[in-house]
Amino acid sequence: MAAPSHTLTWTIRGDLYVPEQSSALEQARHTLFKMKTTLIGEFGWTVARSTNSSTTADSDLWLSTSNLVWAVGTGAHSWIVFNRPNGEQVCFELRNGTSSNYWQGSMYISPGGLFTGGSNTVGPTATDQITLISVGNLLTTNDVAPRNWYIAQSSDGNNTMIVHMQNNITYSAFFFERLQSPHANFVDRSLVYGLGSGSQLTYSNWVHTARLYGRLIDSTQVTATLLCAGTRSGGLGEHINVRDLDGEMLLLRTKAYSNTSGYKGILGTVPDLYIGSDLQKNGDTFPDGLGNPGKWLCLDNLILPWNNTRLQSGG
Amino acid sequence: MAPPILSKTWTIGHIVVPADSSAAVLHKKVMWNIKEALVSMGFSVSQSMAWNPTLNPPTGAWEGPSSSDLWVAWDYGKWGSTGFGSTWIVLDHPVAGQLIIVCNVSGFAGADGNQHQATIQWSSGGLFTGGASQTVWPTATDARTFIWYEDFQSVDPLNTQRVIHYMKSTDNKSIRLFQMYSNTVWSPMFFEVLSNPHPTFNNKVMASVRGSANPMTHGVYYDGSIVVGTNSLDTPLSISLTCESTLSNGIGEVWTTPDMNGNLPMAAIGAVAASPGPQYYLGDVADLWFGSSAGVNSGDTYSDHLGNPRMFAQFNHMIFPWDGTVPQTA
Repeated sequence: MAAPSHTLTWTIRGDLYVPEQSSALEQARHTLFKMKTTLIGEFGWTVARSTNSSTTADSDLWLSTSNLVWAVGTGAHSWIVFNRPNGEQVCFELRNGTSSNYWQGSMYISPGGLFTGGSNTVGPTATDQITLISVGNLLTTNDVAPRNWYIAQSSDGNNTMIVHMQNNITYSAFFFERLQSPHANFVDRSLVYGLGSGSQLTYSNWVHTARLYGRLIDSTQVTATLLCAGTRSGGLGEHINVRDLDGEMLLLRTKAYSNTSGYKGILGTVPDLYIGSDLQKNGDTFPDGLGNPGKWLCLDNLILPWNNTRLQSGG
Repeated sequence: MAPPILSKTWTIGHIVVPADSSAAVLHKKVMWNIKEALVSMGFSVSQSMAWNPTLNPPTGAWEGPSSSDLWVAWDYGKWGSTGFGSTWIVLDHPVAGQLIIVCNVSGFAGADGNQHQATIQWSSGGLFTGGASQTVWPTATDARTFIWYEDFQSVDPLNTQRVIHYMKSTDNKSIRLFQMYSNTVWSPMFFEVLSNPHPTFNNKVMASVRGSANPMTHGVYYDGSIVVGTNSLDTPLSISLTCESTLSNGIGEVWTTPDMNGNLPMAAIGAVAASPGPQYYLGDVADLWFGSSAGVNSGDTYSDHLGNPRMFAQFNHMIFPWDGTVPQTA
């Protein structure tokens, strides 16, 4: 079906390349440091608070890759709290389950920007905290091979999509989605997604499983999924794996559906995020509705805004 | 979600078939009234064969075949198993395609029994030909069978009043019918020309007829593939209905309690070719929606976007345009 035009104005980087490093620790450090420096340097994020495993302050202490330190349990480790441009906060904490698992970490959200406290042995907390990853897959792999980040953010800073890739496989995704036509109980609220696993921008993770989270205006935390056209227990793109006569591939609009008991229903439309078919491959691009080439990018089953440059997919 | 705005103008009606002391008579009356409802919605008679009780008095006799409607009253229908005669009729759809109804039954029913059963087929090309007698009814090379000398109506309860609901878009592209008794849906018939068709789809009439209790569900039409149409090469297609989906289900299967605004789902429906060959999205089914699969009763109604009451009515999991009246469900 015909591809739409972007509804938001996007700043997009798909060439945030991290070369091969000498060890799993160094690769994890360089990969996260690349994300951090880009978010601060190009996307308007700021640091609210951080620790480099020895000092804790209301400032950015992740000044070099050596400031990123992992530890098990309450061992001295690093964490960082970002302010997103719309005031929401994101915390990445480098705790792992086994000392050599540098792919592990934790990810927390505070919709109200309420993170406080924390030290070099425990992370900060927020009363409205949402836990996305708890000592789990943050980067997913210890492989020293090159990595790449895809980062797209709307001009108002409300919507941010971050994807980490290695060897043309998606390994982490951190999404922050402010919805269009939101439910009255979800106005000015974001849905967030944070997960690491191989090839995980899929129908399985986004449509069939509730892995999006948000807090309603009444503060209730809800879990949500994507909603798209489907049939026979699957999304249409799981059944339709062919281009149509016009050579176009499937591109389905998505909405967000709250699956939380007592709060079920449509939360709103996810702007400029579509889902396609199993036919598409990472790096495939589509023109927009005006015929401008390379305005949409396929990563697994999802279709994201693109800027018609070459995707550096790592490795 | 917010009520949609209809894309078509609809004629909506119903026929009450009162309870009868005889199940056989009731079933005959229901089938004849279904035929009458189809004719009232634009189907025309192509060919028919019927039992005329006024001929050869006092026994009656077979009459036809004829290009006119010989099934002129309920008692002109006669049901027979193999070797016995059956009333049959071929109806031309107002756009394209033909439907044949044969009062043909399974097993040893003899010369007029099991009137709740039938054989019902569809020819996309309108190719039914060769009807010769009460035992030799027309066939079509592209015939698709919906009901094959099996249940089309409920046999239980035997003698309960039936209500046949029917509706037609004024452009004749959507014709729908089903019957109810005791809040149970039976015998749905859909004839749909899709809106916004895919360029590979010839968009002939997509038809579906079902014989079972309460079949208008996600399980039958969304998870199943019982609807038939043809692709651009007139290859028979099995077609499934689509709607907004999540958690491996249609939205109405997971959203079963009112949302924070007190709304339940009303998901627009499309059609996708399930087999054979490429599974294309074929187009949209106008003014038909999947609703919630739980907590809703057949006959529940919804207001339109202007607040006018009872402008949509749900039966099983499907929501239809309605005319403001209270749906009769028993």
